Amino acid sequence: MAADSRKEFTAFYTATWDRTVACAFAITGELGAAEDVAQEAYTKAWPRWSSLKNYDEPSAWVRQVATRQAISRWRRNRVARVFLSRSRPPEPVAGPSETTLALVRALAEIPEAQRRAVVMHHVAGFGIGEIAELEGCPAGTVKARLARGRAALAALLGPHPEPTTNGLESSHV
Amino acid sequence: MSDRDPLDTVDLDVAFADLTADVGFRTHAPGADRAIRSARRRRLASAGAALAITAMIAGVVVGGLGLPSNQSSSPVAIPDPLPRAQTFDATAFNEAADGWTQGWTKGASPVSTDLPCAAYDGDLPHPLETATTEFHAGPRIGATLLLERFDSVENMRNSLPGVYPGVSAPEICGGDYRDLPDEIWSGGESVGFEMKDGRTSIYSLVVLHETEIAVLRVAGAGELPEATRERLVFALLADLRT
Repeated sequence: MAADSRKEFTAFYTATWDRTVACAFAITGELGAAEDVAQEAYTKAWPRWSSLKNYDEPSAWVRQVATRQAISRWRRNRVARVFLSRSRPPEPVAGPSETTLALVRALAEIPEAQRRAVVMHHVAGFGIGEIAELEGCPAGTVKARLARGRAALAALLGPHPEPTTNGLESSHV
Repeated sequence: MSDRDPLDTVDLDVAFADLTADVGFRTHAPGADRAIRSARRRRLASAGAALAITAMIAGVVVGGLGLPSNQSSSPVAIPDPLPRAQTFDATAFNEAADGWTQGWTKGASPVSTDLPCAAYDGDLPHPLETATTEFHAGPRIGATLLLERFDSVENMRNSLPGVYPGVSAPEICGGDYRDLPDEIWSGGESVGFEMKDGRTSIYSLVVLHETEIAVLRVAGAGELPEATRERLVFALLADLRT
């Protein structure tokens, strides 16, 4: 029945919204844009709900769509951001905590491929194999991107580990 | 995650968990209902049509979908009083289509009036009754009239994506669309719609009345003038009032 599907979808939406937005936010760094992207992912999910609801983890599908859209949006806006960053100091951002903003700023500084891997793994919850499939690259490449991304983030975020010469974090981390 | 690198730092795990919690605390979810409405409207729009009018008066809902490409349609005023009950037959079709395509007669359409893309497979309410009538007006001009009656207004409206058996999501169809504003269902706003699919010569007019839907799809008849569209919508409404 349509009413049952609607209830299921609403419960699914409510239960998974926060994490979906977090995935998009980790990429875009803008909460409003992240919410737009997340809502768009759920809008795409509803017509497929009769199939999606039978997936082991339908939320993974939504996070994947949101993450992809966030990356696409971030790419489109990158040129404008670079121009703005040269033209004026960054505007103070209200909302997320300093810790969160620091993490998002750090994410924005690491190479895009590493950022995608880190966000898909740590926020969206995808495994190495899933990311490799989504990215169309070998699992080894994903592992390397993750390792380098984490090392770079650790270096950017605080007085923690020092990267080794090959970009991988040292074993005491 | 089972395959997380053992070198992963605890600090980063905590930082990402904090990020998720922090965003969750501050985010505002527009709601599942809004996502559902947007999806349904896009599905309707992907029929290769633009929502021309929608208004609610005295228990009557009239919706017109038309215009295939690169056009915005202007709202159609709701007739007051409502049109007299009259069956939509070949005579009514020709009267309404005056200034557009003439020579409509009942009979199998020589061309497909199905809309592009795969069928919708969602859990949509089923009509209590369905009737289909085909017309033709030349070797490559045809039309299909679909009438459906439901057990409730809610089910009728929830079934709207299903009145387009050839419709699927815009991202699959390749349709380019503008999202419809929420007010579309009660205000009478118009919206432009572009369809990349080559079969944009199919017009779809939809009229809703109480628990019934009338859908007229016309193929191969060329650009539909606004005045004709208005007359066709009224003629369909008159049919639903029989």
